[in-house]
Amino acid sequence: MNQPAPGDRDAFGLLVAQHHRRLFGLVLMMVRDPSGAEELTQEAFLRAYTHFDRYDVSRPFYPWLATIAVRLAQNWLHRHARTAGRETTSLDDVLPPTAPGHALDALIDGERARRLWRAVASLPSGERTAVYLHYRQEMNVTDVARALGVTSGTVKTLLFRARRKLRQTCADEDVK
Amino acid sequence: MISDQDLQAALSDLPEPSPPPELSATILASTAQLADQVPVPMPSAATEHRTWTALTAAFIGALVVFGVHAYRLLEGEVALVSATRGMPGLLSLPEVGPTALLLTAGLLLCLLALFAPDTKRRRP
Repeated sequence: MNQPAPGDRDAFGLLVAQHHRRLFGLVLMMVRDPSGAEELTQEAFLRAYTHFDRYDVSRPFYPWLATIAVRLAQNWLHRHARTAGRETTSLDDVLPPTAPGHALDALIDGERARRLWRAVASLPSGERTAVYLHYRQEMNVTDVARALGVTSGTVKTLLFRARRKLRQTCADEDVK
Repeated sequence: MISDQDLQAALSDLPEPSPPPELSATILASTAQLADQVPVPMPSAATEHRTWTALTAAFIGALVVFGVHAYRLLEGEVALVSATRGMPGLLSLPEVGPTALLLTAGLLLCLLALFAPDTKRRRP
């Protein structure tokens, strides 16, 4: 795929137009906070712009951008975990999946879609990020591993665990 | 219970939340502001050009070194197996003369190409 010539603002504008929605979806899934996601999406694009010399033009742009965003979102989660002063190491306790509440309703149409989104958002952060990148954003396991800073084997394990939990969640909802 | 295949299909259709409408414009405005303040480094094109130049120079240097050794071997100045023929070994260096100069030049070219600092590339 041909990428716009890097370095100039117009070409970067095209990249922003092409990827900002996708990136916002990823970051929102990770941090589960719309204003945090907005701030981090913006920051990720700015980092990409200033560090464009590190981008290998022979590779697709989005996985590189997603890697930046994932790192920023991980730092954001750690920062917020510290601010909350929790003793637990689980970041998921800090931001319950239902936290966005009404904001999520405004962002996603349809009750069924919202239920599925919430089910994925209730997974631990590594699992939900891997699921979103691999299934929703169709990134291959290698690129997901690079974005998360783990091995491909770890990504496969995360995906396997996530599918098992999601199947269980779906079964529970069917019973209700 | 939902099958793995159905689950994967559902996950690929997972809704993508709509970002705030002004997000794209905000990003572009911040980028423009940043570009006015700091010169943004150009990406791989310049770096790629430098890499190829360095690799070509290193290759030429290596070619000169091997060429000198091959020439000395063909001329009978050195032998592949020095012990059997009572001659200096293939890796013995010439002490004087044009071959010594050429060999030094080849080695220098190779080393400079591989280890010269990249002054053009800026890492923020």
